[in-house]
Order: sequence, then structure tokens, then C-alpha cells
Amino acid sequence: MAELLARMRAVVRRKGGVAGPLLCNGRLSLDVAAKAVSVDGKTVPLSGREFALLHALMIRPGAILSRSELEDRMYGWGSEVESNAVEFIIHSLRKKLGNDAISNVRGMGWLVPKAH
Amino acid sequence: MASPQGALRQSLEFRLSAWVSALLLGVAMVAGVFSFVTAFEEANELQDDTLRQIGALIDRNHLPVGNAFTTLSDLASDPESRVVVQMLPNASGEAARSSAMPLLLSADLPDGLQTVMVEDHSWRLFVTTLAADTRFVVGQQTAVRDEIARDGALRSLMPFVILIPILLLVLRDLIRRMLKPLNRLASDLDGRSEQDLGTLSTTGLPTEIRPFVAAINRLFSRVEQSVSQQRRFVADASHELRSPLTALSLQAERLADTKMSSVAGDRVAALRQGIRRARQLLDQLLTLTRVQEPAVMAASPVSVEQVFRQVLEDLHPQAAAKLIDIGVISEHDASIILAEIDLMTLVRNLVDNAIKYTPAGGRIDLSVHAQEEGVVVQVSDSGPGIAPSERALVFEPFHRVLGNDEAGSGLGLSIVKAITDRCAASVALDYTDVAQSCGLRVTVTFRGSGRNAYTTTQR
Repeated sequence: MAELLARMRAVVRRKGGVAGPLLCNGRLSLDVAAKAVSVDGKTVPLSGREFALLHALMIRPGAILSRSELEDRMYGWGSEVESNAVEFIIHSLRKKLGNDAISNVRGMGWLVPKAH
Repeated sequence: MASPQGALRQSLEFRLSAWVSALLLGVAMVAGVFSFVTAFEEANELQDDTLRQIGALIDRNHLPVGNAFTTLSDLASDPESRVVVQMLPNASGEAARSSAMPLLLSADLPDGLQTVMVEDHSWRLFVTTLAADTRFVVGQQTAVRDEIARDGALRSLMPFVILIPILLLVLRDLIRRMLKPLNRLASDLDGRSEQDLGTLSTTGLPTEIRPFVAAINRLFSRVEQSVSQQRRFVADASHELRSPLTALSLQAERLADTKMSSVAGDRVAALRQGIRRARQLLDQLLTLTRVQEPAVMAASPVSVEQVFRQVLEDLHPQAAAKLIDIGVISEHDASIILAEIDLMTLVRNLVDNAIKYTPAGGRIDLSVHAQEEGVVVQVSDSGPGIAPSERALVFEPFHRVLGNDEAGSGLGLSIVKAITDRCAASVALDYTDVAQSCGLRVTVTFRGSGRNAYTTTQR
């Protein structure tokens, strides 16, 4: 039945952007409504931009988002984005959530590795 | 193949040229000799006539020759070519030893034309009897006569000397022109890819060759039929095998969910791994048969970077598991006009191979460049690379580089090759680091027709 589930997941993934109230991936879970993120059930406090960036990546775990796409997502939260803002936020997110929470693909962008 | 010399001897063009040239030269030689001899004799006869006429003039007009002599040397620019008119000493020999006589001749020369040796020179003489005891001789050196005759005869050879080389050149050119359709046909056949079994055009071909071309075309269609039958069989077989394998996979999954010892669990895991590999192999086989068919999918401009992204998203887990640093090193995107699934399959197979053969902690670089000759897609890894001697072989289905125990389907590069063959692209293998002879760099060049075939956009 794992096959069937995988296929259903693939359909959902292809549709894309279906943000449920709770996004889970491995040890991470992200509550969209409460704007709360927890690792292994322990809540981790995140800033507005950090949450926005992680949210963008968590919508489709495994999907690569480029710098400009991540910047676009963060405009929604008001402020102007500086040139190295994305790196800075990723850096602080990694510090809070663990180094392997966000992976980088050189020259392409960032992704939250999909948990098995 | 025969040696170049043998090939030349076999060449119809060469043989035809050689035979026609030899024949022509032979005929020209015979005609030349004949014409030379005839002209030479003709000129000699003409000069004999001249001597005879001079003699006749003396005879008829009763010139006051007396015992004097005349040479016509004053009129001639060349003293050698003088014509001598003198009296013959009569039988009693009274006037014989006159110092004024240019020629010492004996008195008993018969009347008429003759050739006589006088003082080491050969003379042509015409002797005539004027009165009972007055005989005249008109003479000329044969060396001069022969020279004139030879000059005339040689001049008669001039047309041959000038025309024969021209004729030979024209003939050569003519034969080459006649055989041009044949050469074109050969180069057309030679330049075909193995997939191209289309009919040969018979337009512009001589009627002698047409049956031959028609026979080749019939052979082509038979080969194409059998090839497509074989492909269809592989495709059908892989497709038919998928269903039982899926059933098997489901059974194995259910088996894994039951309670069992850890040893049995390990066995089941290995079994499931094996089934997964078999399914991957079937998928690759299906992909290979699909890309070997002529393109049916509509081609449209495809962003290479989007394809990179999708492939990297799919294969990132494998790369991350081996701690491979994978990335895109080109700055700009480029578009290729192609069915998207083909480009996706191609890049996926290249990156999949790179991940498989790169040791843990290695590096894989993807790049795309729009160049004058087309769009160049490169995938470079830091693996062991492929030795130049192996490079032609790895495109064969199921070919494995020795000493490699990676579990691949052995079809990845065959699929890449089939796709590049189908869309007029070329694929080349090289070392990533040529100095160290390591790392595989695959370069795929999509030849676009100039700048229209692709666009570049700043990232």
C-alpha cells in the first residue's frame, strides 16, 4: 500500500502549494495558522522572516527554491530584502533547527530535504 | 577495406580514365608517326621538284652558263642552304679541275636525281644534259633539305601535341562529372546514422544505377520493419513484465509488514531491493525503446535550468546520502527546442550516472551554455572517469566498465545516445580533470540553427 500512498502523494506534490494547517516533514512540523515551528515536538521560536522562508520551503519538501523565489515569498512580510538576507536567514534557521534542516544546491537554491 | 592503391585500381572512374587515356595516347602516337613520315616525304619530293624545275629553266632559256657556275647563295641568308648550279666536267675532263667549281664531281653521273657524297657532305643532285657534251648539275646539301622537311613534318605534329593534353583533361573532367551521382550516392549512404533508414532519392541518377538504388531502398524498408518489430517486442515485453513485478512488489511489501525474525527481515529487505532494481531496469528498457522511436512528441522551447531543477529535486536525496556536492555552475539559462520529456530523461540519466559513479564526498557540476554552434549541456563529476579506449563502448546497451560494481541498469548512456541521435545532438565524453585523467565529463551539444534555436536569459 506504500506504493498507492506514494502515488497519491506524488499527485498532491504535482498539484503543489496545498498548504494544510500543519506541515510536517521528518522531525520538523510547521503550524501555518499559529505560525509556530517545532522540532521533535519542541517549539522553536522563529522571527517573521525566518518563518516565512521556512514556510515557503516546507510547502513542498524536496523542492528547490531559488534566491529570487525565496525573496518574493518574504516580500509578503513587508520589509525590503537586502542582498544577502536569504543567506543570513538560512544561517540562523540552520542554527536553530539543525544544520541538515535546509540543504543547498549550488547555483540553484535551497530545499528542505524530504524525510523518508 | 582494400589498401588505397587497391581501392584506386578498383575505382571505375580511375579505370575508365586510364583506359581511355591510354587508347587516346596510342591512337595519337600512331597518327603522329604517320603524319610525320608523310609530311617528311612530301617535303623532300617538293624540294626534288624545285631542283628539277631549276634544271628545266636552265635548259629551256639557254642561259649563258658556259663553263661558269652559279650559286644562288647570294639570295639565301644561310650559305648552307644555297642551291648550286654548275657544269659537269665532260668526259675528256678538260674543264674538270677548275678552281671555281664548288663541287668536285665525276663526269659519269647519270641523268636525273641522285644523292652523292661530296667532300664529306651528302648532296642531292639533278643532272641534265643540255647539249651533247654539256651537262649541268643542280645541287643542294641533303642536310639542309632534311632540316626543312623535318621542320615541316614537326609542324604538322603541332595540333596533336597541343590538342591531346587538352582532350585528356576534358575527358577526365567529363568522366568525373558522369560519375558524380554515384559519388554523391555513396557519400549520402556513408553519412547516414544507423537509425536513418529512409529511402534514397533516385532523382538525377543515371538509369543504370536506379535498379541498384531501388534494391537498396527495398532492403532498407525490410530492415526497418524488422528493427521496429524487435523494438516493439522489447517494449511489449517490458510492459508485460511490469504487471507481475508490481504484484510481486506488493506481496513483498505485505510480507515485510508481518512479524518475522530479524534475519528474515533482512532477507525480505534484500528481496525488495532486488525487485526495485528489476523495475528500474524495466523502466529504463521502456525509456530506451521509447527514445529509439522517431520523435512523435511535440517539440517546444524547454528551459534547461527548469529541467536541471526538476532533476536535482528528484535526485538530491541520493546525492545527499553520499554527501556529494551537486550544483549548477553556469550563470545563464538557455532554451532548447525539444520534447521536454526527452531533455528530462537525458539530464536525469547523466546525473543519475554521475551520482552512482562518484565516490562519497565527491562533486558534480551541471552547466548549460548557449554558444554559436548551439546549446552545450555539461555534466562533470569527480568519479574515476572513463578511459578513452572505453568511450565508444559505453554507449552500447548493458556495457559495463570493468572493475565497477555499481548497480546501474547499464542502459543510461544508451538512452542518452538514442536521444541525442534522435534530435541531431552530439554527445562527447572526456575527463573532468584531463591532467589527472579522472572524473567523467559528458558534453551534449544541441546544434541549433543559429541564434533562433535558443534564447538566453539572465538568471
